[in-house]
Amino acid sequence: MVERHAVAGTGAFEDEGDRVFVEINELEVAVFRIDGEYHALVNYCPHQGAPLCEGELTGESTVDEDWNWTYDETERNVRCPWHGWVFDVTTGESTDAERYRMPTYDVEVEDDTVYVLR
Amino acid sequence: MSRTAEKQIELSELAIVDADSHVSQGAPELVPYIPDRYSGARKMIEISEHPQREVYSYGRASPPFANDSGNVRSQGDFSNLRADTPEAKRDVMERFDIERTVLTPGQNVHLAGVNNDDAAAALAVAYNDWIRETFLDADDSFYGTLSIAPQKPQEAAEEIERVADERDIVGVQFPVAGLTPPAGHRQYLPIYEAAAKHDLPIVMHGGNSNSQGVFPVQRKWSETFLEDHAFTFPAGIMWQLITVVMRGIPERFPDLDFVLQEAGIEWLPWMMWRLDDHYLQVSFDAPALDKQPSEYIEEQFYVTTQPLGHTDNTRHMAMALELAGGADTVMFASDHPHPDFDTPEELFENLRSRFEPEDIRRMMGETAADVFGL
Repeated sequence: MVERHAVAGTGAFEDEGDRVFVEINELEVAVFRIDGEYHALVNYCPHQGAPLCEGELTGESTVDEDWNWTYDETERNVRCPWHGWVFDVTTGESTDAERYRMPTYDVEVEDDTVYVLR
Repeated sequence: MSRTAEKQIELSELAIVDADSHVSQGAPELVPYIPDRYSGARKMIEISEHPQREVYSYGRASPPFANDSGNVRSQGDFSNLRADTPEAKRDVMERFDIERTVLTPGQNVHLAGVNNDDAAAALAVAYNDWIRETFLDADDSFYGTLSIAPQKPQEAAEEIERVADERDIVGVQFPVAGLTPPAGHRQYLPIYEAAAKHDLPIVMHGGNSNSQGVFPVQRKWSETFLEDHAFTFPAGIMWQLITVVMRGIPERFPDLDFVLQEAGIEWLPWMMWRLDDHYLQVSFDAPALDKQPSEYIEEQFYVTTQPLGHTDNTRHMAMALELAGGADTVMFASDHPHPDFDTPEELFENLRSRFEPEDIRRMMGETAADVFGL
């Protein structure tokens, strides 16, 4: 059964990319502010067990038809601090391989308090 | 794993396809077929007393296949052995019960080493008319890969357009030994576009005869042919594979197949694991990819078996073949008439220790028939 767990006040997320870690039933989760929205991602990398959400936030490069590299500055991906695997914080999906996807959780805000549903 | 396959299938039951079998071919055969628009290059080739060296830029660390006391050294070029006529090729096919053969050029495999771009283009065009007239028209069991000069990508694309629809032309032989820049470079896009348009696989053959100065197959400090040959064939193809995959050529052309000839197969799973590891750690460097490198390789790459390598443990060899992709990837090749050729039996005996009859049929011929559209 999903329960609601208080994480912090909205004041802890003043800037884009701010994050707060919380332990919920022995599982560490990080709540990020990305593009004005709150997203919760498990703090675990499937590669070798690193604390994934302690990594830097990053955008993403693409190549267009004319072989030009462009960089999307929207920093919604977290780069694992150990080996650099990259996951989209908003979906939990690896940006590079479909088979890797980490759990995400719904987030609610009520009376200036941020809650994770798990 | 099944050992029952040994009782269920015999070599004589199989429709064998040879996915890499050379014709003997150098400049002299092609000169009469060089069209007038390349008259300058034609004259250059004509006046050369040693076109193998002076046009194709051949060189070796030491005499090739020194154990072979026969024609190899006396003719100076092992690509000139017993594959100079349709009859000679047909004889070897009958002897080893090979049903259909995909013919690979001789010296035109090394077209990337031709210093004069016009000469390279002339030799490619001439080859495509020569191979059809001398071999492909002579026997319905012969198929061929067409020749292109990567020095002139736009002309190469036009050449693909010119001959792609011929029934017996089943692939584009992209000469990569000593190729600079490597095959993943954007300048070759017209070649890939034309091949994809005509549903012809891109075929890359290991080699080094003319690549003594080029990464990763330069041979300085190789004291012997053995040292040089053992390293450079797979190493050269590995470099091409890496650049083609990581720069997104298979991503751009998802229906385009690639065939790697004479570069070994046992390294392929290692390379897939290595590339996936690098990709996941440094995906910033591969923005063209939408999935792991191994997925492109599994879906779009094929490898031919000769030289299979030697081990007394056939089960280990069979495991390596399975790891390389098995029947989805592996295709028998003889490399006739070269001294390191493999017979069909050499592959078959290794396959029997592990694979089901259906997979054996595919690796001995059906997969090649599918890829090349025979």
